[in-house]
Amino acid sequence: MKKFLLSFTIFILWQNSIYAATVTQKRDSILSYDITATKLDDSRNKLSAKTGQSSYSFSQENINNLPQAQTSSLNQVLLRAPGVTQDSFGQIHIRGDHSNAQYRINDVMIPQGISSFGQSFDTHFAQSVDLLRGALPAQYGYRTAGVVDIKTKGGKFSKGGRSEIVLGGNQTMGFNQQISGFRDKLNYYLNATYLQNNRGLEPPTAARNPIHDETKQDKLFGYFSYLLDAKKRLSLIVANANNNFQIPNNPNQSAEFELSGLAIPPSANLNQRQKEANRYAILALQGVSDLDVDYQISLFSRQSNNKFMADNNGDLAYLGIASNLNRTSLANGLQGDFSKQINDKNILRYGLFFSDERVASNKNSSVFDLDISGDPISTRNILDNSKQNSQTYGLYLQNEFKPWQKLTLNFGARLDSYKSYSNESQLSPRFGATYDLTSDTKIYGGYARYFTPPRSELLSNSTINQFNQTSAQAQNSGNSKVRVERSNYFDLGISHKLTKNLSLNLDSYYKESKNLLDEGQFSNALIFVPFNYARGKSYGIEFGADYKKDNFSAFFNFSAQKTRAKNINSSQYLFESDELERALSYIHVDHDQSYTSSFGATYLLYNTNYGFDALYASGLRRGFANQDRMPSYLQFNVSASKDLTMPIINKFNAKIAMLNLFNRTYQLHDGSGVGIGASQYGIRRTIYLILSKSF
Amino acid sequence: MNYHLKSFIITCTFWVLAIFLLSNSFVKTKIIPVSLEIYLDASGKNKNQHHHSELKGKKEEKERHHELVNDNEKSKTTKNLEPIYQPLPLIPDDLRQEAFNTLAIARFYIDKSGNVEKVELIKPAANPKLNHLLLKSLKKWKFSASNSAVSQDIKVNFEVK
Repeated sequence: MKKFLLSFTIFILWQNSIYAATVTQKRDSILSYDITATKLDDSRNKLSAKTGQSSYSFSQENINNLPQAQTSSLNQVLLRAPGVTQDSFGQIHIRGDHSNAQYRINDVMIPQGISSFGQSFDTHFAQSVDLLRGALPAQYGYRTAGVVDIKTKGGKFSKGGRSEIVLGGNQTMGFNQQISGFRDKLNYYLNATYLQNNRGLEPPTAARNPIHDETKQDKLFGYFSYLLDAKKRLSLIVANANNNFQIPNNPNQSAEFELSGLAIPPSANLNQRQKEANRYAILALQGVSDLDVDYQISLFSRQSNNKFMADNNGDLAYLGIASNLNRTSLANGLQGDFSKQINDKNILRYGLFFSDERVASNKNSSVFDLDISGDPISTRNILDNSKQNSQTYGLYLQNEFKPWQKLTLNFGARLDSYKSYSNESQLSPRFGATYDLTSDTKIYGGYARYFTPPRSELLSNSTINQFNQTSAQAQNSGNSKVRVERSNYFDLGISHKLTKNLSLNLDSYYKESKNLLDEGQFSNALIFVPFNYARGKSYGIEFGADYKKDNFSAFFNFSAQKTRAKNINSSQYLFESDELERALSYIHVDHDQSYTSSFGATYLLYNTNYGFDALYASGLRRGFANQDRMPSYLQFNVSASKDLTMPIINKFNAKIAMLNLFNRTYQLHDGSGVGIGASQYGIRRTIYLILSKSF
Repeated sequence: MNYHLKSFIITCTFWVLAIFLLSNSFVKTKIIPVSLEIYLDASGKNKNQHHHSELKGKKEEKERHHELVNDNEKSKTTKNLEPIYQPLPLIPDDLRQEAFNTLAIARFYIDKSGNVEKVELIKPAANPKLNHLLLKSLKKWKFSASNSAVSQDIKVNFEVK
């Protein structure tokens, strides 16, 4: 951490020399005109100008009003949107889907890495975050439960910066530095973050200070944009995120096996660790051609690495298997999006997508050989290595048609193909409509056929037969290939501005799937394994309210939903035989949560911004075949922030936040359920101090 | 001393030093929107000097531009060219956030009858789509007739309220 800090300070001092010269703007007297437009509806819950479907927006002000402000992870921000469910290890579920979220930065889709992207992104570099849901138009494919559309800071010719330090409970220490500026036609924005604490993952116990749960994370993000001419811009995004975790220990566990000649370490002293790295680069050319075609063509490359290091003796004794796993993934691709205004009523959009991904998985497992009666004889190593190439292709064509002012129709289709362990393709029609009942009321709806391939970076061709007659033998031998999920999605909603300060939104959806994709954690490694249910149904209703007036703003979201599926038809070896049998009839998926709510308010009083928000969850599923439900929980968070002035530093902002104000102990999982590895407890009462200074 | 406390003191010291240096040398440039002042110049001398100049972002060009503006302020010309038709673009919904507090400067090359022969953005906005919309509208401008062809700069502020 010190090396990072030292090199970062040197970087700041170097920047200081760049900004030492002052630039003054002469006030000249050339002709000047103003082009004014009214701000888009700045309520959180509204219709997206891009999709015509529901969109939940977080502006920079909304992010700063969160308890942890810009130090919040992206997933923590999204939990304040309707229909988003909290899960462990930074996961979220949008409308009952497992992890089918698409992340876009400045309209370019980022291929997802092996770890959850919520922990690879922080919100420091985000100018705004929009969550698009519903029956999406044809330009959005593959990951369609929700599109997390991030607009970066930068992109305008301005100089600025921001320094931030965060200190808090669980030995939290973090730093962030942002710098933006321009030289001639080059705009740039740089962001660097470091974070460490002793509660990196949800621990299996309710203890305030978990055992062996440290994390160290650093993230770098750079955005560069160069105006080639007035109608063409080249931009480059580069990012790197390194996350190191200790796997938290559960004390006082009993070992399942004995180690000949070796002492069994106490379960509190195990040393499992995981290192994750995600790096990506996007080079995009954006502009308008002489034929009035808007275009954006992007090349992207993403490299992801996930390394799990077992405690060899401890894992053998307690689990019967100690696996050291190293998985890497390299994806390269191209995305092109084009649009042209044909006439006053029609805008044609078309585009293409291509991605090639290579995943290499190396697993070295120590297991016990078993005799006929099932007793361990000796230990041996099993190497399980695999490599796989996957390609994804997509084309789309859609038309936005406005027959008259109040009605907008969006219809089109996309053609997708996926080649990996299975080769599949689909032509997917899309249709959406928005109608302005009045100037304050809009109704919208749509239908989409979706094609959702499994995440290639999670697939591996495990040779399960190698583990026969060992302590890691699979319960059954089924290992059908993971298939593409195909679904029909219907959405209907209404949005109404009750007063000029209060907006309401009601949205409903229904999704029917074939080969519904789910993911589970079947080992201690934080790598999820995909599998399919032959049939799935998901439906729900969401309500949102958003109020803003003068110094006061508030929001309220509530959703009710259900996701059920039946007949596990791939990766069957991961499950016990009685689970497979029970799942032949509809069961709840493990991430199904019936009721979810988030609400909060902020008030500016005497130059101090007071805020609170709360997250309510009725509980994820638990028990055999997910038949039962975890207890519900309600977590309150409060914060206060104020601009202060001190010698040397001058003006800066200080924020104090308390998460889980009433120190309620709650569990996300208890370790039971389909695809659930271990018990996980939510955060205890924790205080943070965040100091920041903008330039 | 406890390792964490020592580490905390060292890191705080670095950060205070860095913030002090940054806050004392970092000057944020502001683009000040200019209130409407109509200024025209129809002199041939200026036309020749402007004709081939493009704002390439070089310091010399910027200085020359400011010099010419100041020269023009000193020598008020004889005839004013009024724009008689000046359509401005509508900002589409998906660009409103990008248009927030954005500035562009356009240069017109106007013939004797007041038609726009050419218009270019000598200081474009950061977004190519905004620039394209602006150029499309500016090409349609019309000015009153004059004795000679002229060039004229116009500043456009995009304001989202």
